[in-house]
Amino acid sequence: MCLKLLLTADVHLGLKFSNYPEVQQELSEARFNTLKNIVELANEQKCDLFVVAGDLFDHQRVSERDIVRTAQIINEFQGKLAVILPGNHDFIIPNDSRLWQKFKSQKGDRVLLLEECKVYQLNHYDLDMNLYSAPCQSKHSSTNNVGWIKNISKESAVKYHIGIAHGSLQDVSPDPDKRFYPMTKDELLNCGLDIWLMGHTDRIQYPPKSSSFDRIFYPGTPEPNGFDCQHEGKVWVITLDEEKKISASSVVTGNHRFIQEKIKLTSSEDAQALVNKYSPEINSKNLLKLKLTGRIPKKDFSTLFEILEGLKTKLLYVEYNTDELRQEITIETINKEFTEGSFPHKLLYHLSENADDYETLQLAYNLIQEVRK
Amino acid sequence: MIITRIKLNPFAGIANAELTFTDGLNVIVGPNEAGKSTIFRAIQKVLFTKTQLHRRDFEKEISPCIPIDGDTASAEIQFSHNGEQYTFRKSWGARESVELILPTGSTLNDDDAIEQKLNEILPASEAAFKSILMTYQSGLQQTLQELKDEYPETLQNLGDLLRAALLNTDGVSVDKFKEQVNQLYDDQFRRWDSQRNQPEGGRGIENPWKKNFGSIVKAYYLKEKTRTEHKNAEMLEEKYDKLNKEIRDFDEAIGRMSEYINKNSSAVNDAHERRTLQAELNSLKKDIDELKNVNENWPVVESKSKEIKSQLPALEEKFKELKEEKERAELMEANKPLIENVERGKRLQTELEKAQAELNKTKKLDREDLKKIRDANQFYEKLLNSIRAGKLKAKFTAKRENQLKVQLDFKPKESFSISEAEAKEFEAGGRIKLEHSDWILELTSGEGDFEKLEKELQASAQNLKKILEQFDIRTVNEAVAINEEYEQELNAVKNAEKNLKSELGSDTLENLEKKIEFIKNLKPARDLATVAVEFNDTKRDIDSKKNELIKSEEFVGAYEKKYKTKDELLTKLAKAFGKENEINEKIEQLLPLPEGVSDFDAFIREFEETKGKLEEVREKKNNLAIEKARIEENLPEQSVEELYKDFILADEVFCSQLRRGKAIARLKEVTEKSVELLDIGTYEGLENDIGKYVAVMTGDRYSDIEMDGSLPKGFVRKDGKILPVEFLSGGTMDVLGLAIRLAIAKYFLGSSDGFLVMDDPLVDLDPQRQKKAAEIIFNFAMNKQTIIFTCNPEHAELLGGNILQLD
Repeated sequence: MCLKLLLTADVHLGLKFSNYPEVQQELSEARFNTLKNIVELANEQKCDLFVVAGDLFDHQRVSERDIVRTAQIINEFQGKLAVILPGNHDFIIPNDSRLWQKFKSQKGDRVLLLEECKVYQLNHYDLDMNLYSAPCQSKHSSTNNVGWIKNISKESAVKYHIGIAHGSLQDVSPDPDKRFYPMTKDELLNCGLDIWLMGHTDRIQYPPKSSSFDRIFYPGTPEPNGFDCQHEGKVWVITLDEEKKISASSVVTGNHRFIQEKIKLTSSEDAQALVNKYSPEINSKNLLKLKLTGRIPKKDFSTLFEILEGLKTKLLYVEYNTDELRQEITIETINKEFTEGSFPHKLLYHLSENADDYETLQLAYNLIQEVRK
Repeated sequence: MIITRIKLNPFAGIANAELTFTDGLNVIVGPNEAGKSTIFRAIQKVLFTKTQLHRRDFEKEISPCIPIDGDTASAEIQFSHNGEQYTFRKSWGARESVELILPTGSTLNDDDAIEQKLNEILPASEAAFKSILMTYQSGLQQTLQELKDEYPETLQNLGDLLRAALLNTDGVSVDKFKEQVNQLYDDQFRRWDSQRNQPEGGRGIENPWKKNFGSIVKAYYLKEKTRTEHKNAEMLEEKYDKLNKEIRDFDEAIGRMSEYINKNSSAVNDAHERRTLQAELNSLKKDIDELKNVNENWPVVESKSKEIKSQLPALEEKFKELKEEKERAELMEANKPLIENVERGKRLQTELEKAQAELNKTKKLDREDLKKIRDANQFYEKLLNSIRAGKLKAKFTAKRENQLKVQLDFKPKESFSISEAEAKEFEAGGRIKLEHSDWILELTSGEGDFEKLEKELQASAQNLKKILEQFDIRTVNEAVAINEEYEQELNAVKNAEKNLKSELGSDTLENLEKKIEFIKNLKPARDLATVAVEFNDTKRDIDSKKNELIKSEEFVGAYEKKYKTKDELLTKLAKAFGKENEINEKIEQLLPLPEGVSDFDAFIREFEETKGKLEEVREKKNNLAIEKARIEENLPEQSVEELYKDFILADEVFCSQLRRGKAIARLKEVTEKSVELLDIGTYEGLENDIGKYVAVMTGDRYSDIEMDGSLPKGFVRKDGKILPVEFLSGGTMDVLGLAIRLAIAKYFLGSSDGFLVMDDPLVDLDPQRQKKAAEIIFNFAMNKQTIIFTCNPEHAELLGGNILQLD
């Protein structure tokens, strides 16, 4: 008998995205859709186990409606068991957690909430495995919850021994102040378990490329949640064979992609390249944050904004910052456009003499265009 | 550059037209709507508008030039430059194209290359052309009038006017610009205190400005709002974490304590019972102990009492004797010094008697006696010495053997024999007496009466001998020895007498002996210390015995009172033992103490404390739960991480606004400065031309321009009076406008080939001035190609030159 499971974590249902008012609703909603897709994926893949290794929810005050439909989505899993581990965002206070009490009231029989640090024997779910769970009971903790596992005896009659924990892992997910249940690879590997299913770091998937030697898996978020998350949104589909050999494949699950780029422009061609890169075949679900720097000829400046505004119609969301982008206002431009001796000529000429005044020069130039009869 | 020909085919409303220009004055005349403006625009577009345009620029620049029934506008200018011919052709719209045919016959077709080439050829900048050299229906005189109307206060002289005119070239009003900059500044900085880098009056997010604040303050408030939200959320989150942990800890403690209480509540009840029984038992044991004690003690004290009573009389008798002995001893002790005095006196008396006996045994030769002996001896010795002190020498020589006697001084006579011829020498002090059987020869020294002396000597020797005999001695030395011994014994007596005297003082030994005689009659006693110790011991013994007796009798009394009889006491004791057994049996029935606990009281105390603590902890936990519920209500509906992202974004916006503010502030500063800069050196050379033109056009009414530094100040009238600008008439103002226009055109064109395009400048002038103006223009056109548009044929005629009639 093999064991096949889908590992996800850091779904962060309930994220508000208030910085993106135009697409806030869509982004919040997308996370539920992605969860649904993951459950479907697990069903298609005929996974025995569906694992959420923490931070299914983003915070404690997720609305009841969202808790209910989350439970409903997970209830759709057709494998043997779905296990949900409370992470540091959706930590659990045993018997006193509004979030999880509501969730428990809605979850199906084949959904198990891992409320405690203990061994869950899953034979009555027709799974020949023991699950060693390390749920979070607060947002922050300078100590992890896996310490007890090492010294506990592992039932030899049970085939698979699987750890599930949520928190930072040294050298994998940054936690400089050691506030998020910090763990080390050695610490996990010394527990004597077959595999560790982890959650916490949403920005990366770990290991970057899996081999049969890997024992620790972080899926990353299945749905990107901001411009600091550059991957496409992924889960792990993991199989443990008879000999407990692990094979893991990363599956892209993200609906939206957050793309952040800093681009230095030097000419209209660059601007055009931008259009080519982001407009035609781009997925309309993508969000783009551009930081434009460099200098482009004045004549291309207005075109650029047309291009950028044009992108907005093609992508879900476009945000650009041109604070450090300059239109090239040269002495030639000034001489060409303004009569020597005139006020604008004097003013712009004066400003063009000092490189530090470039932003002021831009401002003055634009203002002159506005004031000009 | 001199324009020689223009072709429009088609351009705006003109389907096909061709005009040929001379290098002097060209006047294009035609009624309104004849196409003058189209020709003007065609020249301008061919020269300065590219063919490849972005849509927006196309709409703005070219759309009006596309014929209504067509999709392409085309125009061509032919011009000469340095005597060589160029053809410049452009089409916009559907068939967009550009072509500059160079004198060599080669062609440029790229907008940028052409622009570069044109820059070399054009005598002034594109801007100068657009604003000075090619103006249509935007006459400068009109501008001047507007300026005058707009700034009646500030335009005090020609300089102001000229400056205003130049400054406003390019269609940018300085004041409007400044106003805009100030507006921008205000919009950006309103209510922002740049120095303190905070809203004015330190009104932060907790006390914000409600309205009328600029972009920086707005961004600041937003940033602060998100920051506060994030901080608060973070704080709440931490507090929530902490509370949860505390509640968890309390729950654990409650569990622990509840378990303890459940486990131990029966044991603690029994422990309570046990404590009561134990107390009872303890009290009972005390009673038993007492009963047992009495039981043992009663006979003991009774016999003790008896014993003491039997001992006391003997002790008291002994005490009495001791008391008397003690009194005697005390008396003896008191007279002890006197007794000792007497004893010492007796001893000294004996010593005296001994000394006297010794003295009596000694021969008496006192100091007087010794003196007498010494005196007699001295006298004798003196006589003897005086004999011996003379010196007599006698030499006797015998002629024959002889027997003789010799006496020297008082020495005895000595016999000697002398042989024949023997000589003998004799020496003496005062007498040498030789006796021969035959004779006596006595030799004496001359002065003394040796006979007398001899007699005295014998007498003194006799005397000395007599005295010595008195003491039965022979020598003086003997006398000295006897005297010494005598004196010694005498001294011993005297010392003994002195000691006795010192002991007795003025009293006598007999007297003293009488004083202590009564003691001898007393009964003897041991020394006071021994007696006193024994006395005290005995007294204490008696007292202690008496006390003991009292106590014993008290005990007995008390026992009798409490228990009446010894039998009754025994009965009580038996009862108490029975009770003790009963209690012990009860205790054995009770639950034992939990393992490891040995002290019932400590166990009960611990149990009660735990119970109290449990209540306390429960209450604390409830309070925490209430607080937690309150915090839960306030927890944000966004995670701290998401709120932090909001803050970062708001901070970026704020920084961006600050940066923009910096640029605006700088623009404000530079704008102020640029206006000042404009005053300097701009007008040199212009005023002469203006003056000349004005003088001609006003028929020398105004002869010159008064300068103030580099700025013209006003017109100088023929009579020398200076007329400030505001006093100029409307007509004169137009004259001035034209003069400035021509002067500036000349200024910009310099010595290059170039052209001036303008619409009818004669419109508002009186006939006199029209004529003069026409002359000036004509003269100007002699040097610089001039193209004038007019709808007035008369004006065209007046101006002269190459008149091009439009239908």
